[in-house]
Amino acid sequence: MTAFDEELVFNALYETFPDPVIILDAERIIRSANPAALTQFGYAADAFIGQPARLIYADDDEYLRRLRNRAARVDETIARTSTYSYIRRDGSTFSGHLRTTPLIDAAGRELALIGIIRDVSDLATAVLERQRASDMLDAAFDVMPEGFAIFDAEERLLVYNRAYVTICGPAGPLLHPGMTAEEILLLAQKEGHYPEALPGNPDWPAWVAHRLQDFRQPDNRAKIYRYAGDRWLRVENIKTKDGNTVVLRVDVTELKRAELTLERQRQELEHKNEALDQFTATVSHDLKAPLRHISMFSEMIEDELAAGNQDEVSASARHLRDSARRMNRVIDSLLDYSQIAYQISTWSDVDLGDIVADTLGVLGGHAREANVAFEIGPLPKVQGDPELLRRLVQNLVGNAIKYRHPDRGPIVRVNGRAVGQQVELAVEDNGIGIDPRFATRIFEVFQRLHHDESTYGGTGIGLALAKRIAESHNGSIHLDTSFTEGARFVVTLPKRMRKTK
Amino acid sequence: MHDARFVTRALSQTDDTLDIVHVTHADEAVARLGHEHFDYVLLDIKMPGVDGMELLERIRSNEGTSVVPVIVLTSSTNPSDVFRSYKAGANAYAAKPSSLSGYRQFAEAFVRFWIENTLPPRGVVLDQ
Repeated sequence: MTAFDEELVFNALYETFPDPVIILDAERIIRSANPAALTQFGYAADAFIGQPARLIYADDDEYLRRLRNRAARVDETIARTSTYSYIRRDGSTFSGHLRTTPLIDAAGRELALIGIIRDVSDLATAVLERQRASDMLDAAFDVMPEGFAIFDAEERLLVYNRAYVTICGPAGPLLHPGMTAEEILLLAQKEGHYPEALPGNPDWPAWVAHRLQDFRQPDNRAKIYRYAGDRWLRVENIKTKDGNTVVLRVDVTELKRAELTLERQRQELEHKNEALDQFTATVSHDLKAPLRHISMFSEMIEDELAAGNQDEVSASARHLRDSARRMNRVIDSLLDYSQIAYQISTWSDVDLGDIVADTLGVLGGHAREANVAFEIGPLPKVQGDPELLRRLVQNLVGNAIKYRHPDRGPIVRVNGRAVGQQVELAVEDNGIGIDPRFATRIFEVFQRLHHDESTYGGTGIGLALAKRIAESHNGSIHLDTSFTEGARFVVTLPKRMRKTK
Repeated sequence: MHDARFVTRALSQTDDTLDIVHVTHADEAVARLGHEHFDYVLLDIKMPGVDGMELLERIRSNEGTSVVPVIVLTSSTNPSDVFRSYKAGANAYAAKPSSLSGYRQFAEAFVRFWIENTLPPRGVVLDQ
């Protein structure tokens, strides 16, 4: 067995080692370099050995960085923390991953430093490109208006963007990778971020369970929830092939509001259509009845003339005339009613006090005849159409006089007050009153409660007209059913005009 | 008002003699039906105040009048009114005629169908 010459073996290894190996002394002077090092840096041995280490670094900054890293004992096993820019003799540069081994004597002093420099130019370029691509994605990711996050199979947060932080509301500032989806959801829920699951709502655990269920077993359908007060959130959870869950959170408030507005308009239209149908049915009934009567009384006159009943003829003729008059009144009322627009177009300042004073002037003769006592309180100013408001007040005061009680001295009270941004006008009387059952029907066209037209005449348009006038001012009218002395109508009008689309 | 006059007149021109009571208020109708005996009720469902349909329901829910025949005579030919009337317990539904002869035909049909055909002679027990 031949002796194993260790020195020969290590020398061979040094001479043939594929990566450049350079040995520095304690003064950082190059003391030795293997052939790979000489080839890599392009120097002859005598031009290289004896030079300071600074020679192989691309510039002073790079060399300083190396010295600082050495002082800080950075991890040299990975390329990312220990790669420097080196320079060859011909001035060209390359990236090298430096790994060093110090030689220490028994007293702990450093005698020499063995450095191995692997050319990682290709790798460095690839890493740089990957870093650029990743930075680009991160930047795009962060400015996306959609909240985006990825959770791992254990439901722990991996990455998330800025919009996701915003959408998480009170949980947003506390987000950090490693948090679970449940923790995030509960954090926001506890702070009242979800109006459907406020902490005081006994149903909140069920709501949270439902949300978590959708996170754990998504059915691939987006859900829409309320969040952050009156906003709306579209939530989509997607399981990826590698077991992660991608979550998308989009604020759809504008869309949802538009949808709600559309739905409200649809219902309004439906309601208006029903009202129109009802209106048409009522109107045709009220127009047809006197027409039918006219035709029949004329037939009756013919019959009676043929039979020679002279006295019956004049009674039938009177009924015929009454029917024609009635029809005329119905048509006039309809014209009145149809002339009021759904929305008045010119608004001016109106003093309700003046309007009531005018009305009393107009109805004065009638009121004196009935011996009506008026009690008029202070009345506010509003904005509206003075002519229409005058008709509204006239109708209400006129009704109050008309439906007086036969056994009581009639009293009519008109009062007004401001309630927030609205003005209330109340007209009450001590008359025969109105059964609360009819509180809404009385405002429909041609709805009369009294059969006896000779005592309480009229076509039944007055209150329908009053309602339409109030509504054309963005206001409303109702019968105060808690008032039992007589009838009490309350008109609510906005103090100032409201802009409507 | 006028219609009641036409019906009364047409019925008085038939061969049968009928006692006719005309009331204009639902409450009055209920009160009188509670105290007096009537064989038939002719009812207009379009009335001021209480809806005729509501009166019909009140007639049906009252034990004393639950089976009295009610004939609805009204100006509406609206199918929903016809349906609602039958649902509320009407026995017949007729649209108001628009001529005297139409009223006469109605009166004639009313008498023939409701009075001469339907009322079993007293003392006769019908077999099941």
